Amino acid sequence: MNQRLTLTDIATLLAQRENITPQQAEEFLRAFFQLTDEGLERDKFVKVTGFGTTKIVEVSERESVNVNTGERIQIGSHSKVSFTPDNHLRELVNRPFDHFTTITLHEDTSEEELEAANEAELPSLLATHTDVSTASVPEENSLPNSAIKHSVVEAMEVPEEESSPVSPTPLSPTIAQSEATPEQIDAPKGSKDSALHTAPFVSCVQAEALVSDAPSPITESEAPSTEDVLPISPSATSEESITPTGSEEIITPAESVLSSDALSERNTAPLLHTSSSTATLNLETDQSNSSHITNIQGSIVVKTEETTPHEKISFWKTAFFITLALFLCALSFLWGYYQGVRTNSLSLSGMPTTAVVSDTMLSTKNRTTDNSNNLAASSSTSLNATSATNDVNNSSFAKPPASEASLHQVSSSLEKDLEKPQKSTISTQNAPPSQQKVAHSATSPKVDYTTEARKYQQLPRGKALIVGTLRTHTFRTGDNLYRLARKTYGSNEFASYIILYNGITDPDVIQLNQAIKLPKLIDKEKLTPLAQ
Amino acid sequence: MNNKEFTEQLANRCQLTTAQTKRRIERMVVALADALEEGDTLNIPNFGTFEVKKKKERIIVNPSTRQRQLIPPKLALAFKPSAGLKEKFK
Repeated sequence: MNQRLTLTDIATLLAQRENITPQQAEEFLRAFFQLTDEGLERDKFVKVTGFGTTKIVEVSERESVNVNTGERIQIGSHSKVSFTPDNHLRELVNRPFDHFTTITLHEDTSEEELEAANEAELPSLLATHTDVSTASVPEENSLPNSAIKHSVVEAMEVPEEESSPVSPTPLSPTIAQSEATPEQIDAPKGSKDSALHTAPFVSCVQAEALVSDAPSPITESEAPSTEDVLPISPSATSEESITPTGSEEIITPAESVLSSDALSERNTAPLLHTSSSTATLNLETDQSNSSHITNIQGSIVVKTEETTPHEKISFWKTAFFITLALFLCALSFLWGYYQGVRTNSLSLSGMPTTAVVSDTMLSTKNRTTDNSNNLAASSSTSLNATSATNDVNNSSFAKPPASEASLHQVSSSLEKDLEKPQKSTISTQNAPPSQQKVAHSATSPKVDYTTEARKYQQLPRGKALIVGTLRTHTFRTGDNLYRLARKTYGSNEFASYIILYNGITDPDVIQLNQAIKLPKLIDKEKLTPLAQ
Repeated sequence: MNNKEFTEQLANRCQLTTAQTKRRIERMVVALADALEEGDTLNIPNFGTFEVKKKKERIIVNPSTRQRQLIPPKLALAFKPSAGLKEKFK
């Protein structure tokens, strides 16, 4: 290591390889470089295949600065000897670094960046909650989610900002409206089927909507009593604006809660398989909340009509805080659980969630067919339904185009068959957009390749499948597996497939003229041949 | 002087056939590469020094497409002519 080798050392190395005496080898080497020298003198260039080109190049005149004195000096034009190694020698020398390849750096985000962006999405949603809530039509898939978050934040703000009730009040009605709209669309069109389909989530959302509604009247009704100086007009108008939406909500949730209570129990039953504790907690809180909330609502309606006594307010305040605390617990628990499941589903390609979904899908099998008609008929309701199910299936971060795409797939596939589309819906709802395409394109040709691929030993986590022999390559001097892989399949990383396919125990030692079988590789996802 | 001329002349000097010379050159290159891969420098008197130098990875930008590419690190063979050779061809 880091020795200064001389001609003699190389001669001994060459002598071992050529079965000649070191003297002969040294003689040969001396002749080699002597001839190079002479050739340079004669033709100004010597080209030796496998070694490189030695030539004399002209260096043009240039100005420089004397390092010691700082004087400007002129370096006259001269010529110098340059050596450019042949590709063969270059690759031999670069052998230790041969596995590196040039990577094109894309502008668009990579996997980790997406992951980071997902996490960053939450605060951004919170930041833009006013914009989202003011948009009455739920264009964004994540709207319910953000609304939930918003209501939570809203609710959390309320106890702290009791002195300034005017600031939260203009926001809360819009939330109530924005949350009411999907439900109102759901309620008439989707009727029982959609209500059933989205039952657990809808009831959840409604409960939250009610909770978010609940604080604002309380604070408002409290505000005039505590602060007599406050002008009546803003609070009165806000109350008026709330009461219609509130009354509407009271009717719709009351129906849907009543109708979906039994259904939600049914629907949340599959969830119990995976997370019995959270699900039951959710159910309990849901029910307790709904009971609490209906009470609250009823009293609030009463309260808005008649002036409220002070003691009652404090009682409802405590009741509200209790429900709020319970709800926050449930929410945080659910959020943590969803996050955990999401990461799990990413790593395990969504196995536990698919089970849950398939359960729910099977249980609501007949109803989903009815639902499919609704899906095809009204895009808005179906968007809601899919978004709600998406949220249930923890892919709450799915982007709007993706959900629309899944929607089309769902509606088209549901018309055709019943069994298959359920698989597709599961895959589309769980998998990210890139995997969706895969799942759909991979249906027909996969069968042929998988049977073929079973005959061979496969790399456990590789991105390609070995399905046969492409051709045989005889190993020559200067060959290496990385280069072979790169030239055959386009990337160094496929060298491991060659190693596996040939049963090479030591990839660093391959005999000269050894026959290497190049496997026929099929891309696992696209199912296209990889060889070039 | 191209490869053919070089091989022929070298064959003449060493009293070998051109095929043998070709083979020997090939082996010599592999032997050189093996020696250099270890991180050694090869000093040939009156000719120069062969040395392997590590070039660091770098990012290049295609001026026309603005595409950025990461060029991996590599080991490059560098030749430094000896003082005598330098003087001779100056």
